[in-house]
Amino acid sequence: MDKNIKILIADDSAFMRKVLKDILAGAGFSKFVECGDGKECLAKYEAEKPGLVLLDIIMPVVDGMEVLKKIGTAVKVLVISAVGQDKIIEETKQHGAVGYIVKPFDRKKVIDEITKVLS
Amino acid sequence: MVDLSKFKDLFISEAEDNLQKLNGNLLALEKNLPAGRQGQSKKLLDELMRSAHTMKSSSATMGYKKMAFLTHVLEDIFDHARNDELKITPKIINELFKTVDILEKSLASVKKSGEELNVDTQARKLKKLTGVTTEGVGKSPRTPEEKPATQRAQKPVEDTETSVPSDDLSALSVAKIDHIKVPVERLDNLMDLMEELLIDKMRLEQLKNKTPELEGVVEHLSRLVSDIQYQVMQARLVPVEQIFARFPRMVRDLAQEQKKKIGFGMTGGEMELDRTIVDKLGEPLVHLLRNAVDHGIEKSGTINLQAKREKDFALIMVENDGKNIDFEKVKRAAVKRNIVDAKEIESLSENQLINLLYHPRLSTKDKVTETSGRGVGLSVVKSFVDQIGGRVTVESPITDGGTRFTLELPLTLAIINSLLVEVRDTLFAIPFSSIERSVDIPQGDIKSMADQDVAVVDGVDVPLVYLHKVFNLAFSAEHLADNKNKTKKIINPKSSTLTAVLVKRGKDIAGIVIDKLINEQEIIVKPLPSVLKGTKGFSGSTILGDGRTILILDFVSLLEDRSKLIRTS
Ligand SMILES: [Mg+2]
Repeated sequence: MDKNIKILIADDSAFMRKVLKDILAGAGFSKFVECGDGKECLAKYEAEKPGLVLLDIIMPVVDGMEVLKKIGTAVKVLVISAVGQDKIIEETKQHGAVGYIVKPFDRKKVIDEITKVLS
Repeated sequence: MVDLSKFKDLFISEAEDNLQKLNGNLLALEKNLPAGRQGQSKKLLDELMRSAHTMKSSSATMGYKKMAFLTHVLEDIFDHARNDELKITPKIINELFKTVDILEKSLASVKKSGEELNVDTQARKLKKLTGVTTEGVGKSPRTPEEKPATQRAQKPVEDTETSVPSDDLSALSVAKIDHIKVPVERLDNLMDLMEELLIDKMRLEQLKNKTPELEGVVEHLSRLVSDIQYQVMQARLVPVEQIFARFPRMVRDLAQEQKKKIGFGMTGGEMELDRTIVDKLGEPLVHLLRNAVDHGIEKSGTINLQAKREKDFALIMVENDGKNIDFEKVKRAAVKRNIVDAKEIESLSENQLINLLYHPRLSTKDKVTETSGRGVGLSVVKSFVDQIGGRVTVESPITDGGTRFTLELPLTLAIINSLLVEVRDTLFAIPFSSIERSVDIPQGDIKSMADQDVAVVDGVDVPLVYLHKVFNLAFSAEHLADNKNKTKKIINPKSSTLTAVLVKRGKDIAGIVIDKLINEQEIIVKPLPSVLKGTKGFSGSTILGDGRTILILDFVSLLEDRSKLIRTS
């Protein structure tokens, strides 16, 4: 697994981004790009070309599902959201999401899922 | 396990932001209720849902399950409402406000002790009132595969209105991080270091006079220190909005409690002040607003809160268009509470009467209400402005009736420009902000009127205050000995001119007679030494570069006592 991969963390909660970054840093990743809404996320995606996107669903301006529709087939997107309905999870898969973690999550679940996605 | 303690601060500040957003959007939602402006409410409900949702998942991540559940109930309510499956009624709005309050309390408890409060009762109450059937937030962090049991109607989460067409993509620019949150403590530390640096700067400036080689570098250093000081002060500025934000909600609640119809307007929230001032501003404003609701507005009216920047200070005004202050009632209350003797009450000046308003024991309310009725309200305002070196004025009536309280506040704290003066071998600092200019007054221009000396300056009569008399100062023995040899200038009626500093505060002007102007200096305002606490005439003390502690003169309190103007020998 390439630990040098650039990871885009999209979540409107700075708290959530910090928790995720901490988990990722603990697992040996070091290149992070952050954004707090969907529009910013699309812009950062274009500019930074990350190798993995951790994507929140409920975000202001443009929500995660819209982001996914645009970039879901171009890059590996792991959805991390507190929305737990099957229908939504199903929909993200249709738009190309490679995984779905329901918040609250634990450290191991996030690492396992990322390892699976990247290998 | 994720070590959560290091995320607590961020969790709290984000949750506080979200609660504030909830409050603000609920107020807006309430305004839309009667008109049935569904289109506008939809956007508000989206935002309300998002705030509740974010708080839910963050609380759950931190392990605050009860708050997570309550915010989940909130989220479901807003979600149902935006899908027209639930009608928001005034009763529901009230319960939602109450929920925000309860969450605030729980968050405060987290902040203080790390423990959340049990908020389950409120969750049950909300569910019963609205019919939402929220059951639990994501079962266990260990088994996230199990989905949270929400009973939410099945529908897509995304809002198609907010989608961005794909051809917009190229036009988007990358947003850089342009704001960072810094713990207040770090800024305070920076400020403390800054103060020490300033003292060293002053010392160096003294050395420079003895060592000419140092001149260039000391001057450069001084400039740098001044620039850094400015930047540190800038970094400490925060918009008063941070305090204002909770007032619409507060006024709304008070109005509802007292069955009054009150329109509330706020302007100038973007005005920035030093955080120490903003921190302390909350309580006095609560009292002024509460006072306006209790005493100003009878049945219906408007209360306005305004912040305005003047050149050297900031103004914050609280006004209502209701009743004027009933000074007869104030007088009766003052007598009743033994603040003023019944025989003296009618001879009080307007100023003294206004000062009664700020008396800790005064209350004109017959029945004691939660805050303003006890009469502590306005004394809180007075001590706040005294503490930070501002002042409070009241106008009642204003143009068409009503009352306006104006707080005049310094923009920043702690460091001021001042003029150092000498009076009988004692140094004092006079803040620049109160100085008009200094003048030499020929003896011939001094008129003795009754028991007071008045100088004619530019055709205007200026009462003179002899500082050495006010503070009972005399020349030291050494000075007098010196004086026989060299000619040191002393004040005596026979010398040809007097040196005076003209100070102005409001309509009052006075000439402060001193022996000698020393220089202009930046000084750091420190509290008065404890032995001098409460002494009129001083606003604080400062330490000079040579280690001497000197007092900072305060003409507001000095001139309040008119007897200081009286010529005594
Ligand atoms: Mg979110």
